[in-house]
Formats: sequence, C-alpha cells, structure tokens
Amino acid sequence: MRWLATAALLFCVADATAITIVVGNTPTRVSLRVGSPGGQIDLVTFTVPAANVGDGVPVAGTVPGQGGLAGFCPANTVYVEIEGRASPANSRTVTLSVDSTQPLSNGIDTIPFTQIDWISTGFPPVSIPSGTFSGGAGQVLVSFQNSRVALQCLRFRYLNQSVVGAGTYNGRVVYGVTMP
Amino acid sequence: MRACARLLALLLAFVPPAGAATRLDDSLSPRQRVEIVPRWVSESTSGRLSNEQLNALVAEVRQFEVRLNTAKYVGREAEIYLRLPVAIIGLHSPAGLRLEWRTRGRFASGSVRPGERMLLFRGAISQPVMEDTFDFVLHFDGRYIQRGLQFDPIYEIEILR
Amino acid sequence: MKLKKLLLAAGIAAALAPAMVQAEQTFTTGAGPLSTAARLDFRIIIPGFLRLRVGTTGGTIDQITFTVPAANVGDSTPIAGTGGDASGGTAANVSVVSNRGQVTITETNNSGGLGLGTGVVLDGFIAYTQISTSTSDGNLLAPALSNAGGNTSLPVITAGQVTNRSAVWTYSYLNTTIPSAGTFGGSANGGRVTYTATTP
Repeated sequence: MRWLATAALLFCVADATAITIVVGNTPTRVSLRVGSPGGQIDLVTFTVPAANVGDGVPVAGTVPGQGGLAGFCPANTVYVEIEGRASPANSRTVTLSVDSTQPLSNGIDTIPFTQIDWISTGFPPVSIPSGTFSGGAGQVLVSFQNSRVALQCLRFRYLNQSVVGAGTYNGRVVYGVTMP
Repeated sequence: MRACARLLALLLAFVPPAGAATRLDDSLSPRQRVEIVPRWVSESTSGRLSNEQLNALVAEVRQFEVRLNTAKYVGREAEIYLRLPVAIIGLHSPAGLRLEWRTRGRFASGSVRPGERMLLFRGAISQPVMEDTFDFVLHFDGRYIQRGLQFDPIYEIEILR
Repeated sequence: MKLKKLLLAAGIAAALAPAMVQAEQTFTTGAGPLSTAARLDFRIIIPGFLRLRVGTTGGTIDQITFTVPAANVGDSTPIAGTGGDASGGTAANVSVVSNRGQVTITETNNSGGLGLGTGVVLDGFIAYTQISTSTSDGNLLAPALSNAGGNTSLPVITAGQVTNRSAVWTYSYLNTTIPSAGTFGGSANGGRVTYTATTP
C-alpha cells in the first residue's frame, strides 16, 4: 500500500508543466584575413629598375611566403578573406573597404597610393574585383549579404607613372570589414 | 487525502493500454526554463567552408537534471522516449536543429531531430520518479532559425505490458 | 672649327632587402554592429639615377661646324653652326633627368686649356669664349664654354629631389677675332667639349 500512497501524493502536489529551452538571438560574426596567418603584417615590395623610373611600365610586387596561402594563391599574391555570418532573422550586409589615405613616404618625398593597383586572381569566380587604390578612406571593394565567405588572391603593381625621388618609400593601407 | 484517493482511483482507471505513447510529467525537474545563446562552430582558416559549416551553431546545457513522474506506471514494463515536436517556434526546417545528449544514469544517450524520438529506457518501472542528469548539446543550422526559437523536449512512455 | 659633345648617363641603384613579415587575421562577434580591420604594408624601392642628353641619342657625338665666309672673318658677325640635331643643325637637344637632388652640369674640353687649334702651333688658337651658347628654357641653362673648363650650370629642380628638364642649346661663333686661315678644332685638335652632370 505504501507505493500507492506515494503515487497519490505526487499526483496531488505537482502541476503538469514542461521544461522549455529558449534559444537567444544568434550572435553575428565578421572576420578578415589579409595575407599569412599569424598576427603580423605582410609586406608587398616593388623594386623599380633604374632605367625604368617613371616610364609608365608597371612594376609587379613581390610577397614573401606566397601571400599567406601556399598551394591556393599564386606566388607574389596576397590572400584576402572576409567572412560575415548572421542568421536570416538577423540578416546583415557585410562590406569590405580600404583606407589608403596616407601616402608612401621616404621621409622627404611621397608617392600616393593611387600609384598602386591590384589584379584579382585565384578562386574563380572573382569575389573581390580588381582595382586601384583611391588614396582616400572608405573605398568599398565588395559588399554582400550574410552568411558568406569571399576570398581572393591579389597581385599588386606599382604603376610607375612619375619620376620620383630616390629612396625607399614605405606605406600602409588598412582594410576594414563592417556589418552594421 | 480523500480527494487525493479519489483522484488516484481515477488515475489508475486511465492508465493507457499497451502500445500508446503518453507524455510524462517532467515538472519535478529542478530547472523548468533554460536559456541558451548559440555560438558559431567553425573558425575558417582557409575559407574552405561549406555552407553547412559556415552556418553551423552550437550550444550546450550541462548537468541538466531531469525527473520524470512515473508513479502511475510502477510495476509495468515500459519504454520511455525523448521526442522533439515536429513544429518548433522559430525553426523553419527540422534540418535546423539536432538535440544530442549524454546521460549519467539509467537513461540512454542519443540524439533527435524535430519530429523524431529516441529510446531512453526499456524495462520495468520500479520507481515513482525516474531521474537522470543530461548533458545536452544543441546543434543549429543558422539558415533555418529565427528570433524567438524555443521548444519543449517531450518525454513519453509506452506501456509494453 | 669643330665642337664635340659627349652623351653621359649614370645610374645608381640602391637595393635594400625587404624584411619578411607575416600578416593579419582578425574577427569579432556580437549582437550589435561589428567591424574589424587588418593591415597591409607596401614598400617601393626607387634607385637613384641621372640621365643627360646633349644632341643625338644612341652614342653619336654630334659635331657643330662654323664656316666663316671670307668677307666676314673677324667682323663680329655671329656665325651659326651646322651639324646639331636641333634647329636646322645650329643647336642641340638637351635633357637632364635625375631623382637625386640638385644636378650640376660642368663643361670641360680636350684642348689642354689652349682652345681650338689646327694642329700647327704657329697657327694659334681660337678661344672657347668665341663660342656662345644660348638656351630655349631658362630652367636649363648651358654652362659658358671656356679654355680651362669648369664652368657650371644648375638646372632648376622640378619638384622635391626630381629634375626633369629639356631645352635647345644654340651655338654661335662670335667671330670677333681674326685667326689664321685653317680648320680649328675637331676631336683631334682640342675641339671636343664634354658636359658632365653630377648629383650629390
């Protein structure tokens, strides 16, 4: 009889509710990779022959380590990968832009980034189109809806359209990915 | 107690026949509401992710104690299942969710998708309350989920004899 | 009288080995607006160079010849030259291009300081000061010719360290003296002028 009494007690005390699992909103995510992994900054170098300074013949850039994606990107290209993730309920637009405002400088003279362009290669179809740095901020390179990964190998060229002072010119561009 | 005795008599009169599934009361479980926030599964390293990998999300609920009221079935041979309803608020497709679990006691580990059920236990019901501790892992496909996603895992029993 | 010029070009290459560095990967996750950035460095190595052209290109050494009519010897009538590559032969096309700062053009000659001769000492010499040089562009002046050599001109810098100038230098025999009859100058008798361009 004991087990019957126990059963009756439970039946009277408890309400028949259910456990509910509530799933919160999915976090969105963006990521950007330019060149090799590892946390440092790739360097693209253009060496202009003395006889060709300012003659308008583009000079191809060289990049150590196959630009960060050996086996996928051709030699002397830079691998660029952007990724944006969100659920359809939280759909966003992912935009890759670049800031090339600060010209390259040798400490005396400058060369604007408008003298550098890139040719997109690898990973057809083209995700990030070929182009030329605008020398400004917020130059949009590509834009898409989530969730997607866009990746490309970029081959950079110095356009060499002016005679410039001798020296080593250094400069930096900053790529940015936004998902407002 | 007289009212409870009458209720008990009614209850005994409505023990379902063998083969029909009846939902078990899990309200004895300590936690009745669980809130989770999924995270993205894959860190892309070379960009070579499939759409499925790109949209994969996961969330865990650890050490979740489930207590099932089996008082009506003590002495019976039965099967206990965990089932997900086929229609879930905030889920566009059953492909968008898979519930996986590991247990620490008498219930079996397993996984289910919406509309499916999996056996937790088969045998004699010897206790008025059957309990176990679950470690749940919820797998989502971000392409199929919306705001306000929530669901109730359903525990049900089938009497064998 | 003959005048010789020398085409001069010099290039200086300075090579620097670029440092090998790695690159950037960043990500961010959350509920609100997201942004992340990655950097890429560039380096352009521009060697120093200096190019000077006086007259015909390709290694040819022009000769400007002044032929004085008998009736005009020593009457101070300027005589135009022939044999140059500009202005119907009376002048030379000149250009200087450099990216290494201020260029200096210096004139010298092979007369040993004596001027243009005939090869016969008793004939005497015609001084280089009897040959004037004018320019079509004040940004590229010609150094005045002299027996001793060493006169200079400084082309005006175009911008920064860059000089990129062109002009036409016109030569004229001033004809203010009465030399002995004969052919003075030429490469063998002190008639070769060398223009040398230098940078710091």
